[in-house]
Amino acid sequence: MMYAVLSAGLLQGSIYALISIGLTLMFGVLRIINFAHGDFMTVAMYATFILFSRAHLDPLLSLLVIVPAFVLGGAVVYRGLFQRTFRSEEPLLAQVFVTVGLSIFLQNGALLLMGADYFSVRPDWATAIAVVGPVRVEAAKLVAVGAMVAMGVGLRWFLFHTAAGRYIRAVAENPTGAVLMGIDVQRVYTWTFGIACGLVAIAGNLLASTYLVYPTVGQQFALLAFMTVIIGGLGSIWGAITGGLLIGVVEALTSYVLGPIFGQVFIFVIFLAVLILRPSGIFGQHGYLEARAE
Amino acid sequence: MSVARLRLAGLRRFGGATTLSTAILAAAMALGMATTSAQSQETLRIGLLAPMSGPLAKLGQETVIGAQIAAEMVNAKGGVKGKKVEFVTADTPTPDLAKSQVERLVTQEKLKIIAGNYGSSLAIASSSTAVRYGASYWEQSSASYDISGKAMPYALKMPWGTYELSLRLVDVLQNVVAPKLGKPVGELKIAVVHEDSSYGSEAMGYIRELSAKEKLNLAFVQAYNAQSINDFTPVLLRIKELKPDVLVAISYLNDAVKFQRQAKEQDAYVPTMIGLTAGYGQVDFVQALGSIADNILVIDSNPFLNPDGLTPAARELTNAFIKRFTEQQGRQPASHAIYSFMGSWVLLNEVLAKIDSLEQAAVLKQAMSLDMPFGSLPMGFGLKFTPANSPRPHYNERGLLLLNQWQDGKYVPVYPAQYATGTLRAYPLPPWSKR
Repeated sequence: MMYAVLSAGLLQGSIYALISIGLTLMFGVLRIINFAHGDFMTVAMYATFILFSRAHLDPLLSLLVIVPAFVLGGAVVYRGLFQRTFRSEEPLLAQVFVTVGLSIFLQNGALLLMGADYFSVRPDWATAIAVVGPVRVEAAKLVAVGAMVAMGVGLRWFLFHTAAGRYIRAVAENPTGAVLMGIDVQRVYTWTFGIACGLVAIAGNLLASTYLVYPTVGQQFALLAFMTVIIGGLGSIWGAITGGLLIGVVEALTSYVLGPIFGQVFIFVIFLAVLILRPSGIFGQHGYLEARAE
Repeated sequence: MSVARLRLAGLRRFGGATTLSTAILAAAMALGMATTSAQSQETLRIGLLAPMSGPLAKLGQETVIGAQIAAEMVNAKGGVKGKKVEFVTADTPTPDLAKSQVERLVTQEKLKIIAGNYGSSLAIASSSTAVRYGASYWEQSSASYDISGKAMPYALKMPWGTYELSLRLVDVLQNVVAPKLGKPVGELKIAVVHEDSSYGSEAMGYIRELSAKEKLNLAFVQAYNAQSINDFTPVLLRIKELKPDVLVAISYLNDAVKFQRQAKEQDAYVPTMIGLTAGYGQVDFVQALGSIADNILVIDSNPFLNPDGLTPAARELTNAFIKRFTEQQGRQPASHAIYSFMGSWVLLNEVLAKIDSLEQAAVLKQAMSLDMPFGSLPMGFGLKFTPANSPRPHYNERGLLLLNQWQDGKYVPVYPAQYATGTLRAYPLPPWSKR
């Protein structure tokens, strides 16, 4: 039975990591702590539901529409809202207000446009169950795990093996130096914000097949996503993955042995322990986006 | 005419126009004030609380629609003592907001009656604040006894409470489940999972109390937080190991759907699955789960109970409400819309229409004098508030709870027989592979 509990923890942890990768990229490069991250995911879930119910588009296919739309939409949001915050005398404070305001706007916008109803996206393939010994898992979760691994590996490859990735890492490590080297920092910020939005759109799209869609669904994951990236190290992709898996396994084991209430408590215990013993997180030591590790 | 004269003439014209428009404006304002004054004299304004945003928004909005329909129906027949009824709504997604909204409604809007509020934790915060500021509180849709108990003496609660839910659960175990499974009730292995807010915790307390009294085998109890739980797999693995005869769930909608989907994923089979109202009794539950929800049992009130269980007046009232709701919303109401409608209907017709003052003492005296038998209100409810010295004071002890079963997407009352419109089917539950 312990195998089943551990695998449940790893699966759930993969979902937390899937949600957190976009958040850690955004912080790593732009230093923006995006309190609307969960709500971006909610919007992606609604988009998936609308395309599934109205256009009969399978979530795996609607990814092809939603992700580019989020990348572009993210770029527009950055230019329209966030770029202006850098001109503020207190940019960090301005960003907090902008992201919190955006979060409230998106939640209430969803409530206004879609109502408080709960929507479900369940294509046939998503409900198929894979059985390996004592471990049973829905196909929808397996796809989410696959996406998380692909996102982690793909993003890492993009950052370290492409010219655009090198620009992003250069800006993440030293924005002033990047400007002096002729890199258009605001352009890099714009597209990094867009890519981070695209990553959270992938999470929202895939998780719509597992969780109900409603205006505050993203909030349920937002706090865990923050804890995941803080435990792993703000700005670290491997940190987000490790943090997610650690939280998932700790939550599953304590929920099994002591009950779900203790599962939540122990996540905070781990969180506090990391903050006390290693304030920069497990992988935070090397700096943002592992730039200095290379 | 010189330029200066033209300017002067223009100014005079402008001045004349200004004077005229000022006079019209003043007259309009005076008229408006008179109209507003007349309206305020002719309007009975009542505060109406509900979580219209946040995690409980779905049923919160449903309760607002129910109450608004009661006001429309009362206004259509002339209002309350000739006054048009107007509900002043306030969004209360959290207990803190519930308190501040009540404070605003009572101190700034000068409302004397506050009705509400879906979600026991929100309702407890609302009732005690309303009474403290000098208003009467009228609960229409939440289960906890603390709503009236912690805001004595001017808070009253229309729906049944968690004790009645637990009593009906024990009744169902003794008279439906045990005979069907062919076991003495004391030998049934019972597991309970419950959300940990006021509603779930209070219900669990009474289940424990009654289980000890009736010598039931409460083999497994697990609390969880409905807002933060993402994965029930560890709990379901424990349930799989335990192999209970009965699994009772006290859940809101989102967690109920999550639990059942994951129960199927983990093949966590139980012969008897009983949900206690809330999430398990909503149409959205069956819409989200499809065939997974079929044959699940739910203890809840049901507007579609056997009509023989209602007086002709209650039958007519129920039908009128359902017709109006369906016309407006294009769908059937959830039970919480009917709780709210029924509460508002009684408040307006049986309490406020029969008193001359809206002061706390007058409202309380009239409410406590009400004595309506079972079946005289929708869902088979009657009305008699428990006295102040009762262990659970000032709640309606004549709320009717039934055992219902989801059958092909329909919510069918199956027990007790006099209120049933169908019979129990597919019981014990078939294995997950056949559902």
